[in-house]
Amino acid sequence: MKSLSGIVLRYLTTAALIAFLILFLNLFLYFFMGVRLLADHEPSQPTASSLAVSEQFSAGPDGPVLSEKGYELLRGSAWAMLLDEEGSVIWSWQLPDTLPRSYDVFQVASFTRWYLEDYPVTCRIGDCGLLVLAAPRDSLWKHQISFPLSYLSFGIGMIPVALLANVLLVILLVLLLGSRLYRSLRGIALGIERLSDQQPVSLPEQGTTALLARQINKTSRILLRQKTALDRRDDARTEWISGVSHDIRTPLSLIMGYAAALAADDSLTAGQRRQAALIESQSLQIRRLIEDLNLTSRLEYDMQPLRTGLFGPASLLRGIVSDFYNRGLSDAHSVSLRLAPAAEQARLEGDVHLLRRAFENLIGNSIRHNPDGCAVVVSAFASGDGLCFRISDDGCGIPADVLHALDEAPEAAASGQKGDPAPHIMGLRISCQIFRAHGWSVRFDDSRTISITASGSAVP
Amino acid sequence: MTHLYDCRILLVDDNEHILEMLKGMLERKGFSSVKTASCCREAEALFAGYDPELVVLDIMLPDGDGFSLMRRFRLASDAPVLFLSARDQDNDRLLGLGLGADDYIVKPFLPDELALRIAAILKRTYFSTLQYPPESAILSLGRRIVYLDSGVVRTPDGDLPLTAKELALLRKLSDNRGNIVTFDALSDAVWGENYYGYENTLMVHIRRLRSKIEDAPSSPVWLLTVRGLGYKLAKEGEFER
Repeated sequence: MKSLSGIVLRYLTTAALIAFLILFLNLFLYFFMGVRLLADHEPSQPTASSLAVSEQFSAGPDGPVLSEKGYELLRGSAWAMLLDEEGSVIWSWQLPDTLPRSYDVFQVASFTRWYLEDYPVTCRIGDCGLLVLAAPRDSLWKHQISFPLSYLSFGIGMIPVALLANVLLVILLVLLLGSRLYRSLRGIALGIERLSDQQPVSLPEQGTTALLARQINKTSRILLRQKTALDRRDDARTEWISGVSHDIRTPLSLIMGYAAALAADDSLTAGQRRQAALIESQSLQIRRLIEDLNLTSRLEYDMQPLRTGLFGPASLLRGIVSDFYNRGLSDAHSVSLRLAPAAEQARLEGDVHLLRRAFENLIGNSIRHNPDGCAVVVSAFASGDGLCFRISDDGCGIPADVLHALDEAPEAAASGQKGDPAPHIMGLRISCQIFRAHGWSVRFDDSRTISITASGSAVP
Repeated sequence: MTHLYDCRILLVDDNEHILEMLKGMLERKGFSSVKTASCCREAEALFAGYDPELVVLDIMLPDGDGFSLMRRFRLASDAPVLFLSARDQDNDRLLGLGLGADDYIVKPFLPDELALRIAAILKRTYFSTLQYPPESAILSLGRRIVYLDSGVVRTPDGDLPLTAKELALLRKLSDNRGNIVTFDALSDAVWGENYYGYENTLMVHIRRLRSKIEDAPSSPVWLLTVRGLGYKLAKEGEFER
């Protein structure tokens, strides 16, 4: 939901910025145009400026004379005339015959503001008289505007208020639309959150986000179907392994029983008895593999219940190492235990039976794979993350392909789906699975050293 | 019944071959009276007349399950029951032992191990108090003899009494003679506590014990220290009952 708030906040900020940008653009254009208009207060087209033309008159012996430039300025105008103080035309240019040649005060007052015979005209008093400059008919619209001065000053004063009101309106609209967007997106965001938690989602398919909601509902249904299928497949696989191993147990009992009987039968030759003993020992190996296969598949799919309880790791490790000696260890092998004071005091929570098996597997691997002898060192000490266990030896080390198989494709390696995994990988893999099932981390520092960290453990 | 191997044993399993193999194996080990049944009905019929002194019971039987069958046996007799099953789940194991079974072995099994476990159960049930009275426990340590039940060490120079803690330590060590007994197991046996906090106390008790059972306590030959792990009572000599 935090991300949704972020999206909406960003939307609101962007919307507000755009609103301000448009507002300032308008203001800029308004002032720019205003300055332009002020600078050019006379309409330049289609008539010439009456001021410019009137400045081109000079007094001649026979009356006013317009310069050449003046005539050029007149281009585009309909006609022009110059009246003296009496209202008589003392100079004219293209003046239609229909227009009178003399005007009284009323006529002058009228056309000064409006039109003369439908010609829009502008007037300018110059040194030589009153210049009347006419634009072609229907080319200009003239209107007289007058405002009370008080109204005008009020209007100017109102501009900032109006601007502020506009800004507030824009912000209000943005907020309103933003909150609507937030409300409609909130459901979608919740749905996506539930999807990521692998929970079923059923959003109401209405409003602006109906299409999105429909897609999310559909995705949820597909995911749920896939999850159910996967769970069913995993269960079936685990059950199948469990069933097969169950079915193998009884015939294997017979093989082991009769092999043991033959191995002890004095009427057989020594060679035959040795072969029978070999059948028995190999059957034992099969039994161990069956147990490992069962356990690994159950750990893989979280079907192995952990019977957790508080235990002292130092006591557990001492018991394990002692058992190795008590069961008989060749002189070429040694297992030494190094416990830091923190490990002596620590109490951990876990399934002691499984953890014992995991540690025994690791130490047993070192001994089994170094038949010519090796020194195994088991240590436990406090690290930053919790209690750390380290098992190392000076033997041949774990082969690179086994480490690779553990890292790259543990599932395939255990189930035999890929390549040709060596059977002994199972023990190592089960150890890793057991530690990880406890939430502990496993790291191969190098091929001869394994570190296990019981993170969050109660190290005093 | 004068001997362990005279005990009547009833084997119940739905697999005829397993029954045959087990019967042959037990008879070779010396058990003289072994009968077999391949279903609940047959087992119950045999049980009534044969009155077995130990039952080896499979769980999955064609006309019922071993757990129910054991409950019915228990109504008539307290004969020990050993479950022998292909079901390896903890739940089955716990259910079987929870019902009062004396052992639970998962198939496939080592025949020798099964025979030893059967013998151990029979010994525990029928012979432990009759033939091996605990007061005769004697521990021989070279020139010295420890009478565990009276808590006295007999030396060439006279008798030395053992304290209760020293005796408890020595019992634990002699029970596992030849094997390493961890500090933790010793602390648990003597004080019923974790080893942590008892390091020095244990060391002091071991020193005192050595002074009584060793000819040269500073160079012990019987009560040996296994560095970092625990102590071991050397196996030389006889542990006589």
